[in-house]
Amino acid sequence: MKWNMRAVARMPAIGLCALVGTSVFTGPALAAAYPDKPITMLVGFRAGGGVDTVGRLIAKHMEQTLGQPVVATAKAGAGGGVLAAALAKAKPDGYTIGIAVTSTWSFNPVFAKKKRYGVDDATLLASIARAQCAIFVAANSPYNSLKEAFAAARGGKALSASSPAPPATFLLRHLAGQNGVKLRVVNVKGTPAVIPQILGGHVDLGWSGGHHIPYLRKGEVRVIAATDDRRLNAPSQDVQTLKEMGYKISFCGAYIMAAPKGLPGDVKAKLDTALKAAIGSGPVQTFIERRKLAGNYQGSEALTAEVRAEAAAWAKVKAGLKK
Amino acid sequence: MEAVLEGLAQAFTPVTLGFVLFGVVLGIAVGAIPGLSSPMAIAIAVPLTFYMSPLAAIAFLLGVNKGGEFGGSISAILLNTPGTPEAAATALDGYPLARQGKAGKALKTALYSSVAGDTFSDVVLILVAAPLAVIALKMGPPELLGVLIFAFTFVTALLGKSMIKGLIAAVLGVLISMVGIDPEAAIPRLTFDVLELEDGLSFAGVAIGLLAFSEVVLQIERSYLRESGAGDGMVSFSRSREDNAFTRRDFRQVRGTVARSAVIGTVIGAIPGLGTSLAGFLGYGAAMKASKHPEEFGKGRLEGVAATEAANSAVVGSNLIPLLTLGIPGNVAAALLAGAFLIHGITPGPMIFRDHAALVYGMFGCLIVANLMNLLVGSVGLRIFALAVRAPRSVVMPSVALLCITGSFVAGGGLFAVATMMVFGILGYLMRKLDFSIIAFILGFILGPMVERSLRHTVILLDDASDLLGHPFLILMLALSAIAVFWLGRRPRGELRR
Repeated sequence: MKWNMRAVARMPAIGLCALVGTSVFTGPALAAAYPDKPITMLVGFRAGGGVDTVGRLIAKHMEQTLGQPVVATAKAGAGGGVLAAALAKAKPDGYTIGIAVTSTWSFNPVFAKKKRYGVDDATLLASIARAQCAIFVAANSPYNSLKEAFAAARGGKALSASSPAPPATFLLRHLAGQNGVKLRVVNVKGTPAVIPQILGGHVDLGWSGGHHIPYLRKGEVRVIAATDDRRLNAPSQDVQTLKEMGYKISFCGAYIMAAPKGLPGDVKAKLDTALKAAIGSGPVQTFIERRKLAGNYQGSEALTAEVRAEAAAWAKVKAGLKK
Repeated sequence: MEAVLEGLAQAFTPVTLGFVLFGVVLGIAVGAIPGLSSPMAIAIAVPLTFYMSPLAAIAFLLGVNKGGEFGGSISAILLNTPGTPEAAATALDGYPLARQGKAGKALKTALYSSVAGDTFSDVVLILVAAPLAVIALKMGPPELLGVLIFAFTFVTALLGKSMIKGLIAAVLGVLISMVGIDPEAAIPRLTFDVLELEDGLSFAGVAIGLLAFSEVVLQIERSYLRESGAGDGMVSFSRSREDNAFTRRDFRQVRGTVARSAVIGTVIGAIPGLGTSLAGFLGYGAAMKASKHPEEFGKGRLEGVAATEAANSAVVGSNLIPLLTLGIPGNVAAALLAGAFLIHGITPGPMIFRDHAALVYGMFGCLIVANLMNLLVGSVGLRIFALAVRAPRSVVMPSVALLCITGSFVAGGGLFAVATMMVFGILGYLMRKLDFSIIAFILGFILGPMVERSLRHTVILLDDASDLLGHPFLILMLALSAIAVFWLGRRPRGELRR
């Protein structure tokens, strides 16, 4: 087939006309038009979990406020690391955002074998909700506090703990190290697996980010320490935090939203507003309540400072382990 | 009691019942199509359940599983091509019966035996599971290790045509399951610096690839080589009423066989690692041994069909016993169900009866309902499903391929899972060609990490070997495993081979 060269030459021109035409009709300046195409929200954890569920709820609300589709896309793996690495490479135009947890940027980069990203490679936008992190024991356990448990270990008793996540394992080991005792930490897959080990009496201490609460209500377990840097919600508000006990370590996690670094100021402002509204919306708050999390909206600045501080604390723990 | 009622109330809502019905229909159709098996149907159906309520999702998958167990017998009887591997022994007598014009009778016998075996098994599950779960909570890492080693012994010894090939496939599955973060040291292993591999290979990608996509690859090759497909030797239904009916005489003839097979299938299903196909063959063998006319088996004995179908369907209920009480999936179908539980944020294991009691009892209700629906759909639609046997591959295979891609994307968390699915599809194709058991591979893939964790937990929690004496159950299990190896090693392989 022979091409009609003139017709081909005209094609881009037609396209251009169409573009100019639309922009004339839709609005004055291009910059103010953000968002003028769908936004992709990368989800750092597998579909069906907490991060995915809350991400989709937020995406739905943002669609209404921003007037563009917000498409939640799975980018799961490595505790949010796959997402964070993708975000570090994405264009900072506001059309790619991502949801993961604090440890994705605070713990993972510090302990990664090969560093692919850090806190500085992302714009952390907002924190959504905070877990309820605690060390707990079975109701019939002889230990009423961490102090008693470690004292028993010093007295020659074998002390064991069950942990669902690497940061929690590091935390537990660090606590034992500070007390100069041996703690046998077994790592299970996911917080739900900690519970049968505690209730069955197979290990002494357990760590969870809130999965223990139903058993606490039934009186089957007892919380002996809050591992966050702040007190837990009721009914565990009287339990001391590790910091109050004199330890210099804390660990807990929050769901957070992020974007690539170098986000233009006006785009960031729009995202901030939309996110704040979405997090405050009914469905998201209901989710937070149901999952027994703590509502914990934080803006970009406060969140970034917090994650940076956490990363620095983990770097210290790591340095301590090497000695 | 409250949970029982709440669960049953949820089970008998129109939506849940609708999904059970849909599952059963889908299962029978897929089971009837040669090359598509019931685990494969579940693998593809798991992602479909994403936006259903947990009970509807589980009910739907159970429906698929149950329908598939019966569906496999349709093509076995009509075509001499078992629609599913576990229906292989059904063809031995079913096809000769069909050749005699008794296709209707054989299909009905298969259906009734299947439903009877299934129901017996479900009743055992319902009676036994909750009390067992209480005991299961007392099982710590050393005890779980014992059960897992026992299960592994059977997987490797029984699956596949040769023990060596079964062993190789299972070990390969274990090896692949080790990819990811080391569970105790939290260091990546076998990841080759690929970030996506740090979470390990997604079960959805691996299972869908090996079970379903490999079949697509195989069919592409077949159509390329223009091999003649199934549907050629189809027999037609006789017009005689007697030949198409399941009479009182037939009932008297097979009832003992069905009862025996139901027990065999239930026991096999309750032991993790033993397969549905094995149950079918054991049921068939036992019926032959008990019969006064063993020489007539293989030439069109109704008991042959009844024995196989009752036994392989009786696995369906009881294989949920180890899953619900210990969190150990006994076979591939149970492993896929475990995956579906996890998608909905529910961890199978002893805690399920306390945390999700309503769901469990709802599920029990659905099991029984699914049996009734299987019976109903099977009786009404027998002839329609017989048509599924002739479904053109040019329609079936592209649809399956599409479902493989979307399914692995949704359940596996993105495009990487799709790539995983395709790689394992090709691996599965090669394994089929070289006669390595895909089932052994998948069970290795699932049980491997469980064995690793419980072994390492045992090592961490115990001080030295003398502490093992405090765990007599582990020692018992190890002894049983040793006996099983000895017994299986001596057994003539022919009996278990097919």
